[in-house]
Amino acid sequence: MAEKAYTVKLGDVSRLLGKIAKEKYDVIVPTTQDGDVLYLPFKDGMGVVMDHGNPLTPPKEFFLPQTDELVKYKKEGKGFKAEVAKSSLDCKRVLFGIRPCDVHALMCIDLPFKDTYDDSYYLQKRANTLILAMTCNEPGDNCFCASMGCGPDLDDNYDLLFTNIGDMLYVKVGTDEGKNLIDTAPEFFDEADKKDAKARSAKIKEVENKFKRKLDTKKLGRLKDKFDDPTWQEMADRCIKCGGCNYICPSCYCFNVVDRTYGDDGVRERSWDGCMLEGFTRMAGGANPRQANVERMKQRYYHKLQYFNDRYGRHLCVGCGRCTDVCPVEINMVDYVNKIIGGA
Amino acid sequence: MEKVITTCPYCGSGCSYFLCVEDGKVIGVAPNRVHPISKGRLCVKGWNAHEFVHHPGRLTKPLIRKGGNLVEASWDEALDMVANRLKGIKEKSGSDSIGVLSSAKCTNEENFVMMKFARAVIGTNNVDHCARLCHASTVAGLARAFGSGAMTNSIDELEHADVILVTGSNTIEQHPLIAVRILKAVRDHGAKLILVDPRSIQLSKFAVIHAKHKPGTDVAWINGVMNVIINEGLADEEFIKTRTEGFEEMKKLVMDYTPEKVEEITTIPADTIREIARTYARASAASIVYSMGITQHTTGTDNVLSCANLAMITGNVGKPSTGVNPLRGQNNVQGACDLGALPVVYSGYQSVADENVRKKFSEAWGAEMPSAPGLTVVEMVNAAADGKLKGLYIMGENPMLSDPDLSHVKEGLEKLEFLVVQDIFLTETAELADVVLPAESYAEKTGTFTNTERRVQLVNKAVEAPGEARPDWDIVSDVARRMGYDMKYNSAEDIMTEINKLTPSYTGITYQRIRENWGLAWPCPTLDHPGTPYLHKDKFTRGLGSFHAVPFKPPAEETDDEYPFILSTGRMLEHFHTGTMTRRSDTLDREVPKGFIEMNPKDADAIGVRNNWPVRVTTRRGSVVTTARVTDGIPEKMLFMPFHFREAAANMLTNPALDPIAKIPEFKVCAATVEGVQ
Repeated sequence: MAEKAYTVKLGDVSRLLGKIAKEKYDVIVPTTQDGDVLYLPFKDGMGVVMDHGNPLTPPKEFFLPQTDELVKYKKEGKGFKAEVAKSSLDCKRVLFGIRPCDVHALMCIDLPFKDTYDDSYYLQKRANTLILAMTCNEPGDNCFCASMGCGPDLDDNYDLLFTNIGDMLYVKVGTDEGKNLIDTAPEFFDEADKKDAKARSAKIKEVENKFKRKLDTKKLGRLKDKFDDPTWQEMADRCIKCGGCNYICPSCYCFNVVDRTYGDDGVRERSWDGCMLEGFTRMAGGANPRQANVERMKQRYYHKLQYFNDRYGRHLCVGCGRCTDVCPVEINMVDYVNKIIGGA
Repeated sequence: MEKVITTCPYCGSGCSYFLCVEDGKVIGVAPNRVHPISKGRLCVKGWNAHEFVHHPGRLTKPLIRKGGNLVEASWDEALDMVANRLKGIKEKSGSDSIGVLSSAKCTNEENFVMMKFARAVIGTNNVDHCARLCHASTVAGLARAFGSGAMTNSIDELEHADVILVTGSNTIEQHPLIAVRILKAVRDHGAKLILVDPRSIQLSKFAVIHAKHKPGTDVAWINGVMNVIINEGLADEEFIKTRTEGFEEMKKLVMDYTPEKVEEITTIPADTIREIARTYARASAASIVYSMGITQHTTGTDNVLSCANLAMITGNVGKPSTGVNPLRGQNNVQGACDLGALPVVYSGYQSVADENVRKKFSEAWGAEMPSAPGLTVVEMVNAAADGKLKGLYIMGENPMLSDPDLSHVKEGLEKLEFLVVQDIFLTETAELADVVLPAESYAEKTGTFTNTERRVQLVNKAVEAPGEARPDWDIVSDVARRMGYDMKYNSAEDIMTEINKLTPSYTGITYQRIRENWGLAWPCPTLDHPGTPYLHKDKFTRGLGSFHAVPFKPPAEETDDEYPFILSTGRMLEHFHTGTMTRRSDTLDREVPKGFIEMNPKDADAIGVRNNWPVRVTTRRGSVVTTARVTDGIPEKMLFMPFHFREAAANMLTNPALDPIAKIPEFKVCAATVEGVQ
């Protein structure tokens, strides 16, 4: 792809996004509301947060919402008429400020969702969304994306990639669509020079040294011999079964499907589900292969760090640390996994 | 996508999260890291608290019973009928022949309006709500001991206690985000957890002592612990001397409760009683946490008084990370009590027996105020069955599943001349109503909830209500106007202004200040008052803390040859109260789709039953078929049943015997028998 890089002044970002929003794009940005940073649709005058830790709720919600309508059905004569819910977007969407770990998480979800079947609900949203990623300057207390090879920089799978280098953003172009976006608002972009490129490299290096946690990924192969490690039980004893680690995980993609009937009409919806919930594997007769919480705990970790890799050649964990952030009883993924594999 | 910050409608912890809104529908929940209680974390109910909002069963139009069936009607027709029928009963049989059940699910503003409706419009103090069924004994007991019937300390303080004594609370399941403070105190700060509970629960794994007592013997074990504290010189004499009264009388009684005698009553080994006493009394900051295992007994008030005794005898009140901390079960059960949805007090616990108080409310509301104390929840049902109560207006409560002895409840409700139920779903109670009024859920309205630590927090409207549903306060005011009383509010905030004026402990609590501070804890008497995280700092609310000499009394119903099992009822993590919301939440109902009864493997063997097999449970009140959950976490000859399930309703079985002071029923102990079913 084009080698050319650009810069945008920090003070121009809001106006740039405002202009993109006028070009038939829905622009999603990280912003502060009620004291926390969230991804929300950009509105004129909205403050865009640039040097934040990662929002707790990942951008997964824009591709695989917690509840998503799949099919609407209606009684017609003696039968029913079904209509596929509007899952593609009317207009293109731009996701600004998404972190490298979360881009990797989408790459993870892409794999099963275009494996045996194409999950069109998800894939259409993916196809219709431009990824304006931003490298991370402030890793959080529980972040370990560097260990997983998912940050703080990003090599590909973006349309544009921004790095905050002080008073400006350094912009790398990843796709033609990304370049087209620049061309719709050229007045905001300057060509980057060598000094800017150096500043970017320095910034990334600086961030690489900021991580407080490291998962000893070289030793993850040992997991296959650790299925009976007593640490799993220790974790399960503490777990309060909230399901939060599944829900908040940017790469957890399991869902349940339910039908809701309103009189003669109905709707089929899917909603987030998770392997930490007891009902996830319960069968119709009541038997449950993962009845005990410790079995579910192992399933989650082994899927993240072994099974998915066996099947797709990459781990299903991107090191964002959210499962630790959101855990009410502070089950720290890095600490526990390192303990189990005898890692650093 | 929009995100609207709000307060969780489930337990009393008071967690906050964003409701995610897309195309006018709530489609999910997102945690907020800066909220002081939830701190970006939620339990499984919180994570799925959006699911019931758009359930197809939501009530969307008023319903009127015609020819035996509930049929859709216009608001005018329904409200006129409610107003005329209530007016008719009032004129014919008097104000006290009408009762009102307010709601621990509804906002403070709605509870205030409902209690005003009872007192100013109907002219009765017959107003109560389901706090009667969970913490009436807390309100009565702690008011007597300390002068204020609420959690003495705040949730965060638990993290810094040296010793936490948890009794009658399955905290991880019922108040998950409070329990996590206990787990953190134990793991990260080396706190010692003492658990006194008949069953093994998840907390047991973290306790240094887990004493399993015979259900219904709480007064005895606490007296035993105090016996050891006094005899071993572990009491805080300075605190007893300067801050309390009534110690000598209590001491005299407690001297009889030697650990050996207590072992006989409770089955807790004498040495364990000693160990509890030493561990608790030697802490520099010890916190007692309890819930319905303490309160739901005919000796509920006695149990609460005993907890207060234990805290005072060791000086563990009025300091950070100490205190007596009842965990309130519902999102706004604290607030419903605070706002006077109780038969003996107005908002802020101002007594209806006080002439000056009555005068104040009479002048503010332009109506004569009734002085006779009103009926409580179970008493209203009894009065209905006796034909004395003729009209009942129920807002957001479901006695047909929540109250003891459901056959009797049904008999009472069916005998009423007129029953109106206002709710978000057609509940088991609404099915019996003459008029059903559709109300808005928490996602559709604005108002405030007060959590278990007395923190008043905002609920914000996220989506429009389905169909013609209206906010509860708006419906009640409309009925009032149709009954000829001028009650008009423009918004929930408008009601809060009136609350501020009439309620000293809420005077400084305005929407703007709540917004700026993530809520405020009462007492908050002025606009510049910072709120009160812990009570009784230098002085108890009542002046001196009062010890009470409390002798042990057995439960109302004891086991015998015919009913050899002790049946206890309670709650579980995935469901809430009568299941009106959680059983209509796909994820939560999928997690636990049916009721069950816990029994010990030996008992299961004895009746020839295995795990997941159907069993019939019978008491003197009735019989229910449910599924056996065989577990050694429950002692022999004890049974435990959650009460959330209509198809296996535990309250068909429970004993309606009441605590004589608090009028709370004995949900925690009754005599039962169990058998296998073919």
